[in-house]
Amino acid sequence: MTDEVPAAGDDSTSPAAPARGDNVGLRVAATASVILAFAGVVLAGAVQTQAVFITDVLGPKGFLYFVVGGLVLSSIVSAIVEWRLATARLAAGVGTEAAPGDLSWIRFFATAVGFAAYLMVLPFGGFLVSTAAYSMGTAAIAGERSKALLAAIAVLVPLGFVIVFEVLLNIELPGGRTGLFGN
Amino acid sequence: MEAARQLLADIPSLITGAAVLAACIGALWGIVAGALPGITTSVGTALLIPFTFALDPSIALMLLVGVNIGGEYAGSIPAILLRIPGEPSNAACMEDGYIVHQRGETGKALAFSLYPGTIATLFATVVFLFLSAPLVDFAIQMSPAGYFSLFVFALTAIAMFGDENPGKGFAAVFLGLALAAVGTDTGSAATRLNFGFREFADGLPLLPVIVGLFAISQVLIDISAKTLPAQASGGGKGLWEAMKLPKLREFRLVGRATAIGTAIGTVLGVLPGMGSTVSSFVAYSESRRWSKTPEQFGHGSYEGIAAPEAANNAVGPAALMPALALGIPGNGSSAMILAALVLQGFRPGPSLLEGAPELLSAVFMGLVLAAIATVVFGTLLLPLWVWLVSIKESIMMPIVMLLVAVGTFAQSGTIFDVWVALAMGLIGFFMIRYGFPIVATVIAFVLGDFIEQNLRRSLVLSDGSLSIFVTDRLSLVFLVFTVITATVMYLNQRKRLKQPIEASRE
Repeated sequence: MTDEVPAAGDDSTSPAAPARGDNVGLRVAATASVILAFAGVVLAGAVQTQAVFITDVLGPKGFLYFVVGGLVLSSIVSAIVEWRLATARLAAGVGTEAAPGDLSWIRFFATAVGFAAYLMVLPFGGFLVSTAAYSMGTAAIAGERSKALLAAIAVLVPLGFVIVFEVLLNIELPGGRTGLFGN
Repeated sequence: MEAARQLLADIPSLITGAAVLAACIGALWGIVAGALPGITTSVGTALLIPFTFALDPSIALMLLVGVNIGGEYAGSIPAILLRIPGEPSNAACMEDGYIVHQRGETGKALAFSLYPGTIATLFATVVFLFLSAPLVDFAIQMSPAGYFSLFVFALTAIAMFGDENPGKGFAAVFLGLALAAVGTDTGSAATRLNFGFREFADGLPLLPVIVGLFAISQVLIDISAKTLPAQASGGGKGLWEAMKLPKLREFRLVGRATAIGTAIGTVLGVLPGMGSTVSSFVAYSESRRWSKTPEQFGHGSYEGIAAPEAANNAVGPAALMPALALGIPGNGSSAMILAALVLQGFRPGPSLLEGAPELLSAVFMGLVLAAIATVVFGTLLLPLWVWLVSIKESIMMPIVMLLVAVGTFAQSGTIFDVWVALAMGLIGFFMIRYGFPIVATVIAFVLGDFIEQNLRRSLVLSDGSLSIFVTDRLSLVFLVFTVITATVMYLNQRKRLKQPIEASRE
């Protein structure tokens, strides 16, 4: 067995429970709806498409309609298969389709928002300062609690990137080394 | 035979210091990426693509092929030491490998992955030498209708393989096709699906889409997992004490398993969608069937490591054949190698190698050099790879995200592309979490424009009649293959779905 340790920052300690039978319909509908919504976006794009000249029978819209049709069919097949699978498992007394692995939404949002914030700050703060803050923050989100290691990450990671990419490989870093503050 | 001779004739001009260095660096990075927690071979390849942009296409190919070969081996390192497969294909050797490691034979467990894997790589490379050039000749003669049907066949196989719900596989394919349609239509100059973003006039940028879907989504999945894996322990003995390699006579024990794995990996690797995972598991079960000691499988059998790893490694060169000759990548790694060529200005499809036949020689050379580099680095630096596995994921996560930012920015010079990568990462996260195969999306995205052009050309030739797909003989053959493949896969999936339910009843 793999030894597993709870990650720092867990917002729950309860084990993953099998999905309840009454959630099956909702999950099937949600998955199908997401695919259909995407088909709707492509359809809207197809309707808005205006060609100056058309050189073939299909034109620029034809392929988009083909994709929309494929997505609609996929959503139907996906819903039918998921429903049949879940009901068969329920009938066999093994719960519904295995629920997706339990996760910490807090860490997910913190990572995504942290990266977005990093991209916004980069042009102003520059690579060194922004990356120091970002790498330390992301390591902390990932469960690192040692202050010494966090400090080392904040110093060594941006410096390492500058040395490898800017100095050795002559590759420009996003935001420049010091950003607007350096100018 | 003549084509193979021609291919070999080009090789001396390709053996340069830069080529050897590229293959070695690629193999090293592949092993590092495969061994490091939080980075898989696919992520490692995706992270390297931006830096191949400025390289000569032959050197870039050798570098990426090196990553592919090094990574195929290295995925078994965390599987054997931590019971966490680096790639899904390494899961087949996990049970036996982990038990052998726990017995204090870590060196042997890793060697029975490395050496049979190298033999398999070299064998599949020789097959590549003889088959890829004729495949290119065959591809050049295909009509647009034949090509379109070939893509339908490939994408059907890719969509239906893996997940138990083919609807999600097809949705992933159509998502990729939709993403490929963004931008200016080449036939009519109409802008499509750009929703007001002028940056998308030339289409969605290839690199951010790939890096986002593969690398950022993986970081988000790993970082938000409720439990993080523990680090490598010493197994039965101390970790360093357990590093002894097998004796020569012990290698004889895995000869048959290596041969079975190599043959299965080479044959299945050519088929789109089958890839490493199917090959590994088929090789494992076939090797057990033909073994003199089948009872040891699942209890620390050396053959249980060698067979799936040989199959897994043979797939690398085998999957490159359809990717380069027909423009159909069979798995994620070959899709990324194809994407790197597209970034270099090549178009996927039969014309890919028409004007640059030396690329085939470069791939062959890269495969051989990378296999040698992998076995050398894999043996000499064994303790280093074991140590790498124990590096904390919390250190690797920010580094992977920064590599994405720096690599994407380096290729385009604009932070907008990094935003695109983040958006794709979020999409990829939800796709992985809810069982949509991202490889299918990436392959459809890379090929999307080519598929559309062939569909449109076919309809121009037939004055809009769909009958061309049946009257063209090659197209008809591929459509029949599509129906057969879909039926077989559907029946297999039905059988697989019943198994867990019946097992739980017992």
